[in-house]
Amino acid sequence: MHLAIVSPRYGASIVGGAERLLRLFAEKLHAEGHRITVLTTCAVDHFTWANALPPGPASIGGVEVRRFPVTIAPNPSRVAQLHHAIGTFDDDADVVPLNDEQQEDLLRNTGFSQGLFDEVDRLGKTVDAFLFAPALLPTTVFGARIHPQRSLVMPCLHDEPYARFTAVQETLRGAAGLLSLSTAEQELTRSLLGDGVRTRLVGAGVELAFAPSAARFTDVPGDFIAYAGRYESGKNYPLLVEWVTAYNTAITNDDGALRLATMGSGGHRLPPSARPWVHDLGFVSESLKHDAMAAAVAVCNLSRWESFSFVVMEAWLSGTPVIVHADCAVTRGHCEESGGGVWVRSAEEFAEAVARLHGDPALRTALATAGQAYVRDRFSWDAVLRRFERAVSELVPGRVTA
Amino acid sequence: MAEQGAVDVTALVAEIETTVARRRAAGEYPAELLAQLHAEFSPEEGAEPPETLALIQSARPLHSTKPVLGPAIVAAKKVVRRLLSWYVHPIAHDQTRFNDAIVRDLRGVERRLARLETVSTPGSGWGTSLASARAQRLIAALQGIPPGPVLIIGADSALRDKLGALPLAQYASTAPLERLELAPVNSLSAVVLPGLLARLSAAELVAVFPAAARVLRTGGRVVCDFPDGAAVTAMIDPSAVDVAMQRWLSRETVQLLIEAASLTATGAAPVDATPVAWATLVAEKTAATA
Repeated sequence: MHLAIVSPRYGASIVGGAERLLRLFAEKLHAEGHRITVLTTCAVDHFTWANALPPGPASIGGVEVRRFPVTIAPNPSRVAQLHHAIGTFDDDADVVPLNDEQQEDLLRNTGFSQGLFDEVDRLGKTVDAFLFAPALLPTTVFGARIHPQRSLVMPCLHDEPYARFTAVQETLRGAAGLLSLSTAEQELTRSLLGDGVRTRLVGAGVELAFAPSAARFTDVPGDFIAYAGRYESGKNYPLLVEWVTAYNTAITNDDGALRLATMGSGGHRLPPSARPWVHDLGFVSESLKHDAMAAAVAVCNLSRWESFSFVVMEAWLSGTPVIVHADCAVTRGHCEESGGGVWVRSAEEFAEAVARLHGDPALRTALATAGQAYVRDRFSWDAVLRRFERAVSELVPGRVTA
Repeated sequence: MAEQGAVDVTALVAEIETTVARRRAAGEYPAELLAQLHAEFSPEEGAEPPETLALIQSARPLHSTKPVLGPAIVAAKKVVRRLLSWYVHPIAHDQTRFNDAIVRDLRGVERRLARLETVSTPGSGWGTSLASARAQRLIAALQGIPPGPVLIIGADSALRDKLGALPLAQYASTAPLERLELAPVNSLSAVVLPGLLARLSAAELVAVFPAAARVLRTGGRVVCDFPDGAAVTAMIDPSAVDVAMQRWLSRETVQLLIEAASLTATGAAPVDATPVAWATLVAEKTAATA
């Protein structure tokens, strides 16, 4: 099969769940003998969308990549205004606080590349299928409309205002099919777009060959819980810092203090009261991240907007249970289905959960073991690729050559 | 999916919720302290940031709550808005441009203030200005090395960003001796040890320079920096500055360790722009390891 993968940004150093997932799909499918062409922008930063990389062809990990410049330079102030207006959105309201014109304005300010769309148009005559992700960026919203009958979208949907944008929903309804990463995301897709939408549960592949070592990790003294990801409000990072501070200063009757080891990057500035409890490791290697996870009492991901969460999978493969937010259907669903972690909704519940895990190593092991079995059973690359190939052949009939 | 004998997480969560409810009812959680913390973490709650107030919208989504007349009312509002738009829209646009300029300048001042606030914070983590000064000194010390890979061990995140411009740079945060042992003999152009020496045990400190000398090419350099004990006027516990710091070091000690590893010290310099005295020391390998 000749598959064109359209990613807003592409490269080994690109931070972003959907972008990373598309890169892994490209490399795995290429290794299986499929012809893969990646179409992407020259951007690296998903805030500025500056053209940091040279346009033109490249080969990354053996995969053919074609880069195109972002042709609409974003207006950061305008984007901030529109994002803030969306932040006032009430889940129960019928009206999205941006009209269609403003929604499209926001989309055009987040990595719009006319050259990329021209290439999608041109490739439509030769490729068997296109794969787009995530749903909320212009590369997908506008790109998947060019050849909708052969466009598959991995929407990576969260229950957030952007998922209700008119243009986003029109694109998703018109696509040949939608590929979901989890049961919860598939249910959300149906609830937003209606039962008529063509969707398949594919999942995301996880590398199972883990060899983490808790003993090797000595960067954080004492016991700690771990966080890996962007330091942003969207990931509920400030909430996690607040709850860890509350645990240590106001709630715990646990004997020892627990630090928070953070791995990632972002602009969030810590309040002074949190600083004694947070140990920032910055952007670390994969092996160091897994060592840190293995050494942690628990790995916390309180984000409410997740469509899969690699971090949860990596925690389990590192032998550590997870604590997630009760209001995140996806991560909570993983925990409910696997038995590998607990979900909390307040600082007090968080503190009780942490204290329980801290004081009971056998409980931690039992939870992590259950989570690990879940990952190995559902999300091995072999299983995911077979589901993906089946989905392509069902949703884009008559075009698949392999 | 959960296997037999696995934990019933639904029951576990229910148990946690019950415990919290009981302890809340008993007044065991210090509500006032929790509220104070929450307030600190939500300083802008209720106050909108200026970016959102800057945008003057002349067209908003129109809707009506009237069950029967709703569509007609919305249509009428649309007509009125369309008729007045030639007048309202340019005014709103000009005002928004002015507001944007003010907000941009305000954020610029805020960024400058943030830089000033962090300049006096020593050690790793928050000392971004110190990290910048140290990185400049380390990069300058690498001028003229033989072309080839550079191994950086121990850089904290702030410093790592600054050193990102080095070509062929590899990073290692932990296990310095193991990382050096893994590298082939005579293979590296430079080994950079930012802030590492003060964090090593005594045995590791003695072993690190011979290990670095083994993997350097002829003409390659070891570049290290450390909190300079000779410049400390008061006896301060180094862990009070940075919990990971084991000791202050003097330049003489580092030079002796370098010479014992058959390296030639070529320069030492203080790192400027910091209230805590840091020094950089450079050593060169003059003969290949057999």
